[in-house]
Amino acid sequence: MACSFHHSEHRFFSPALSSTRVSRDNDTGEITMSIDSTCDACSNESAPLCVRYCAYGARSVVK
Amino acid sequence: MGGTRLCGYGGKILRVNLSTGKISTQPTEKYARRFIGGRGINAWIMFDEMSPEVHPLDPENLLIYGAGALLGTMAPFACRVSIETKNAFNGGVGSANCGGHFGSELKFAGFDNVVIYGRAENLVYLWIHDDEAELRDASSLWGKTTWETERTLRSDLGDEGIRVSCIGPAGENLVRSACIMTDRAKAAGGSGVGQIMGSKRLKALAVRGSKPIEIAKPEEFMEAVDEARRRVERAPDTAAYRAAGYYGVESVSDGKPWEAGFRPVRNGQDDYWDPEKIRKVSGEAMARYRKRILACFGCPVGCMPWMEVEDGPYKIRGEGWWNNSSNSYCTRVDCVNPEAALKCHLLANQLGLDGDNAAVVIAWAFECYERGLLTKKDTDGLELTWGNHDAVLAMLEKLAYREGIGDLLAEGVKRASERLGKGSEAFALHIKGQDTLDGIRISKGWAFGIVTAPCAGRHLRGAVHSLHPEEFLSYEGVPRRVFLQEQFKAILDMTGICLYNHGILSWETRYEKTAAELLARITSSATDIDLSAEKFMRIGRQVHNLEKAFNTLHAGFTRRDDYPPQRYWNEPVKSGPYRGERLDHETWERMLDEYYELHGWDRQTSWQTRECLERLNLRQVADKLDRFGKLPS
Repeated sequence: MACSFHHSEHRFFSPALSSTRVSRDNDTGEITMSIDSTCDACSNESAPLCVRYCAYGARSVVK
Repeated sequence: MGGTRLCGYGGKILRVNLSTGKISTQPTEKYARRFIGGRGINAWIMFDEMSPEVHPLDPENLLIYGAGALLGTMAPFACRVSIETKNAFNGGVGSANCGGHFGSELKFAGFDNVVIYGRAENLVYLWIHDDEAELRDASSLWGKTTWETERTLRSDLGDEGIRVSCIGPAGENLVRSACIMTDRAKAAGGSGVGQIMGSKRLKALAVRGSKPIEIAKPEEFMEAVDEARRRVERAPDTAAYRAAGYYGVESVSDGKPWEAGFRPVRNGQDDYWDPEKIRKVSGEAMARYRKRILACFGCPVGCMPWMEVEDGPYKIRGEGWWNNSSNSYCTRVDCVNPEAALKCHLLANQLGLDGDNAAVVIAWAFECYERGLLTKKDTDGLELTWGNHDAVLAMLEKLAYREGIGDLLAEGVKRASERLGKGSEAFALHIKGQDTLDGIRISKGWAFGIVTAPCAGRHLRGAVHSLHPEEFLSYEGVPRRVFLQEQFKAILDMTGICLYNHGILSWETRYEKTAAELLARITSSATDIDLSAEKFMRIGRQVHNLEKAFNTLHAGFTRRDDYPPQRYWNEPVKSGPYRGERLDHETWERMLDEYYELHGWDRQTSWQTRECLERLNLRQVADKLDRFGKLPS
């Protein structure tokens, strides 16, 4: 959601506009995430929004 | 109010006539500025469009989904969908509510509410995707569980991201305790919503969307969201919820959560459970089956455990285990096997049974058996003895398929007890005719809220919750606290904010207005509807009054329907620290007087006065009540 906000210049929320995908395996309950090539590491933001807003600490910046 | 452009919404209300197959849309804006979204819009449509003579199972009954106005945004805890209909138990307000991801997906598909009426000739499902909707044949889904239905629809439609809200066998078989199951584990339960969906021959709604939700004032919105998130992070329970889930935190075995009477024991014969039994199914005990914690859409806390029983006769895995699960499958039937209890919970989810309602009627049958009113001859050989968890499992199946005694229980505890007779009505636990799970002898605010709520007998409405004995034992101030809580709860249901976590937004003050102020800021900046805490609470009061009027008009409810079940007057708590506690009849009468006075309702009948409705800008409601002779003279 935060990702789509960045890509829409802070106007919209939409998973379809996001560079990241989250899915769940219903047999195990396991969550998987992926990031596609449209990710620009939140250029123009003070920090990547997915890192800033992930409440579970699942995202981090690897230098 | 506000500017001219409405943001924050999917934008359209979908109307589906199952009898003719006609599908149409209308702009959400027609309703949103007045009733915001979710339950608010649903309540208005229900009151405005339904005739009192419609029976709950008639095709003319409406079944309305309403996504909260903040779903599909970054507002924390915005995930809830309200489902309104005419209550299958009592003909009054039917209302159910669940979290998950379905509601947000509905908004991304361009829709805020779905109004369903009519009855399909054959079983169908509704496929909703980017601005479009179509009815499709669902004959191949007949008999499938909720989990199988989701799996099949995702596979057939070729998209694992599709969100599904559906009924299971219980709904197909028109069982009154059938729920609508969303995202496999999110039960919109009570009111017979699953039975009503089954009566319409509608198996499921499947939804997928890729449309954006526009925010009216992005900078203000994110400032308010950041404030909410700071409150979440500062709240003392956040880390614990994230680590252990709701049950892991709220049901530890140190006494308090188990002693306050929320979990009646043996069909409410007592409210105190042996600590040795508690330890077998407490938060700590269930932790061994918890593999991870999952979250609903937009939730920064996460409270839903993924549970696994890895082997043995109760081998199973899936989402969820809640405080009310331990009421349904443990205390109420005196069962202490955690693995069997988990199996009961996950089996009910698959069958599409609302565990709360199902457990009430099953526990009533157990008590009938204890008293010799039912025998093995009536139960196909099952021994309904307290603690027999295998019998509970078998009864869930019988109930969902209306097999044997399940056919009697499928009518709900009020009708089942009236049919059986023999004095069994005295321990049939229902409020306004709707089966009620919650124990209400000890906590008076909890009791008064649950009993007086328009959709009564359900803990998601009106109940004032406290674990502090000096608060929960006292009758003092209860009517006012319930009066405020019911308005605030309507705000949560209009915006789609989760009741279980809203307290985090106001934890520093323990005062609903703190959260209402923040929610007004978030909603105003998302939608451009001008709101303050006071305005929002007033709209909440309007919604509550719409539902009250619906009950008066459709179910004929009066003051006599605002009383608890007989057992909670007559039989005190038998053991434990609150031994002797029960609801006091005289005090209850005084509380009702005070509560009706706060609302401006007539004390004798409980009906709304024209004056109170006009003060709330609900003249149209007063006029309709007047036409049917339902205004006090």
